[in-house]
Amino acid sequence: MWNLADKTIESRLLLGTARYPSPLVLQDAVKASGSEVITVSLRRESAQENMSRQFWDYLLESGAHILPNTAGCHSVKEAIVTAHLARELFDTNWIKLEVIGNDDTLQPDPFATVEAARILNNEGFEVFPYTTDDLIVAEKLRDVGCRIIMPWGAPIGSGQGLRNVEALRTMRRRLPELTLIVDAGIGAPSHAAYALELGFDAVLLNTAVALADDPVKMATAFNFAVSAGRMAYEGGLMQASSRAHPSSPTVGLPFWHHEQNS
Amino acid sequence: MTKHAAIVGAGIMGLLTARELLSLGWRVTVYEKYPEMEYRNSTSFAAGGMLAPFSELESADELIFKLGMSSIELWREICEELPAPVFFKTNGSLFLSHQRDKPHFENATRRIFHHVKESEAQWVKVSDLEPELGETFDQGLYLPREGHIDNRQLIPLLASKLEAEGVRILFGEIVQDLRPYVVETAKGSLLYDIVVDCRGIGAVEDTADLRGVRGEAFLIHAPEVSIQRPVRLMHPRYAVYIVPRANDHYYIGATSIESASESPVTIRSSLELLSAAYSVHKGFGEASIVEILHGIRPAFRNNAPKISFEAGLVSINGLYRHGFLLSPVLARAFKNFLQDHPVDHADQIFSFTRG
Repeated sequence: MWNLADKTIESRLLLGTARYPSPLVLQDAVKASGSEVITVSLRRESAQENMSRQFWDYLLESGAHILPNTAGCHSVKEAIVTAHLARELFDTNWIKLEVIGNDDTLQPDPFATVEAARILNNEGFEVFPYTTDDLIVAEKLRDVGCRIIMPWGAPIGSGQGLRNVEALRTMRRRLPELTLIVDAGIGAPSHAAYALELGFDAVLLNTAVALADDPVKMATAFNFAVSAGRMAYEGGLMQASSRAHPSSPTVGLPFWHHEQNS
Repeated sequence: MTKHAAIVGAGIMGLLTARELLSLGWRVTVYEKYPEMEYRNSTSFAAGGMLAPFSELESADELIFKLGMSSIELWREICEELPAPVFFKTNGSLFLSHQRDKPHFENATRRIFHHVKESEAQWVKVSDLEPELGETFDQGLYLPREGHIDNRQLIPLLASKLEAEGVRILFGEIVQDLRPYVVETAKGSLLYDIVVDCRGIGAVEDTADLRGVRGEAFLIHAPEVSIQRPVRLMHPRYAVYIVPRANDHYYIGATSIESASESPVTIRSSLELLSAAYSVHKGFGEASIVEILHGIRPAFRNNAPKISFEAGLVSINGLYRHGFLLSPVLARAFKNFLQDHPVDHADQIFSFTRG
């Protein structure tokens, strides 16, 4: 069990809900992943009263906490308007803050993200900001009141995994008091396991599961990977070394073999 | 005695069901909520008319593919009966991708090759098939067994042909309630031997699990463009088709949004669709917009269709984005069921209540 924004949950996998072949596959994938937090992107159309209630019910049926996101927003104002809509519609103060700075790379705009986070924190939102692996931006987000930071592993939808492991390692080491979730860029279960091994609290992903040939099977794989990664972190990983160390005692070896080993 | 069926909804599913029942010698009355002048607001008119079971393998269930395989043959049969020719082509389609979307494209085409024979999907040099696209696209996936039909031309023709053969289509007749054997309108209740619910999204209030998925599209006139077959362009979020129609017209669509909103088309959707078309052929820059379309696709949880039976009432729904691909197949399955003939995949498309 761990604590995410005052909610106690088991799973360390947050799952996106876009682009599944059907709502049925989405529901089965959420179940298989074990995820207890699902993100929902808020398009303006959905905010109207005509939003497909049925689709919304499918999401609720999963029993997971809903984390609405501001995907597709390009400015502070747009993100804040979307956050307000989400609070009304989904009856939650959680908001995944995503302010895109470049449509081509889908990089977050760090300046707008910090500004929007400041305003939303003051308004009582629990902000989950999507950012890069830049430590200073993360510190600024902390300074404006964020308890959770979500650095990318790699650009959205790219599936490249953790592109800058050293930066992520540094962020984890320098911000031990914050909840850190790797968001975006996770393509394979091994990427997710790696993030957890580094001490990140959780990972958030969507495409890797939604567009898999068999999303339910892939969701299961991520479920195991995230558990394995976390257990490895808690178990204490051995330090890598540049040379071999015998794992069995060498007492019984002839002395000239000892010499080769040392 | 002649049996009398009421079909509720004169979209493509309702019309093709009427046609099959007529061929069995039934008397058929079709109720359509739109008056004839507004008939074009029906979702069937907003469709792209794609008959593309292979391309749809990219995201759809294998059931859609299997059902869709017999679609083109059935359409051929339907078109032959019509009093005037309909724009119906079976010269295949092309699946293309810009360089940037290549990783998505590789995933999508891999999924198609998973299911098809060598002869059904081939890598081709684009300029060999579509000379005007050869500059922008080098290679493409050619799906020779796909087709498309101009739904906007077909529906009125099919409706008037059925009327000429004795089917009564009551335009602007709003059905307040439908139950086994009974259709209720403002004029009162009428009894039938069977009521067939083909309302599509119109049935959302009383069909468990049905939801609307909004689609938006453009109909344009592009005299500077000459493309012979539908192009499906790889898009990270939905399938964008550019479908040739008669007289230099093209259909560009469609978006896919989890909403049943009937509001006008947004700028964002317009930009996405039109820039997709422009990126395929610069000649679209000079095209004029003939009509902006939107419709609400009816879909079940698994995005697959279902024919539900109970005594005196049948519902055919959930055709989702596959209205023209699946409607002739489902209408034929229904007919075969009535005749006690075997139906392929019956276990997956039929559901029965109370025996």
